[in-house]
Amino acid sequence: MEALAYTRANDLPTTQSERTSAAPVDPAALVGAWVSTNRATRGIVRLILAHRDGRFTVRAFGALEDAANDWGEVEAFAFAGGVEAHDGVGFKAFYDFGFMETALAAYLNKRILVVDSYNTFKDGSGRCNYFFRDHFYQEETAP
Amino acid sequence: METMSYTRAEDRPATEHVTTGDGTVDPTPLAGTWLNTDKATRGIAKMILTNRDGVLLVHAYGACEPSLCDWGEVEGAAFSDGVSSSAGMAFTARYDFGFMETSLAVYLKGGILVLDSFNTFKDGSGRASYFSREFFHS
Repeated sequence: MEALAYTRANDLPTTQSERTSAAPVDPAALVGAWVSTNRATRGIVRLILAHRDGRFTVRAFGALEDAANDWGEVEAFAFAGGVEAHDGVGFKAFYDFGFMETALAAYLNKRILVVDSYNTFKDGSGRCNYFFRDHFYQEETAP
Repeated sequence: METMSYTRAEDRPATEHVTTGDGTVDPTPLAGTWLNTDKATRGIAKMILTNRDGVLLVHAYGACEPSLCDWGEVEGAAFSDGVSSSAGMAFTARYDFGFMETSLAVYLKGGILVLDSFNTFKDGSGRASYFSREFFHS
């Protein structure tokens, strides 16, 4: 059996001879509606993560004074906690707004969703590219 | 003057019609040699961040035996903590190793560099895409 290529020890399964199944990462733990823990956030107020027909998506809402700004739905990519795990604990997504781009890098920590955004302006407005972090709790669904 | 487009309140400068220069983020605060706080890490053991004429260069080393895996140098993108601030405090970078890709999303907090890596295999080995978080000191 051919040895697995790797870049660091974490890339290798604990038992090298036992290959894990090729099942995709399951985003179930990430799916749902998430609300910012900071009611006065100037970043993202709400996220909806969905998994339909094998497609994992995120829909984000930006914080504006009068109403939340619906950013629309984009594809998200789920990540597990290790090469032999299948439960999603983090995700990446990317928004291109034309005048700026936002890359989301998120992970779950004790049922708090930590979402970092890396924001790049393309409009020559002189605004600096910036990093911002929001924390989210999962909205309760009605029983 | 044209009104700036925005997606959330944080995209707007404190004074709407005042911009703070050319928008360049200075990566100098990120530059240096950064060592993993966990000497027994199985992830990234060391990073060397360089400011070369305003461009952030990232040189990472994976935890391998018997010696570190040298990932080589890639260009990073620096970010500040707000639209009106030019001091770099975060960066992203991407490594394509052929058989896998690693995206780094990193920020500086209290003198600690906090690194999230998002790793995707392309080699059909059945390994799951995985996330890891590590901390570095200079």
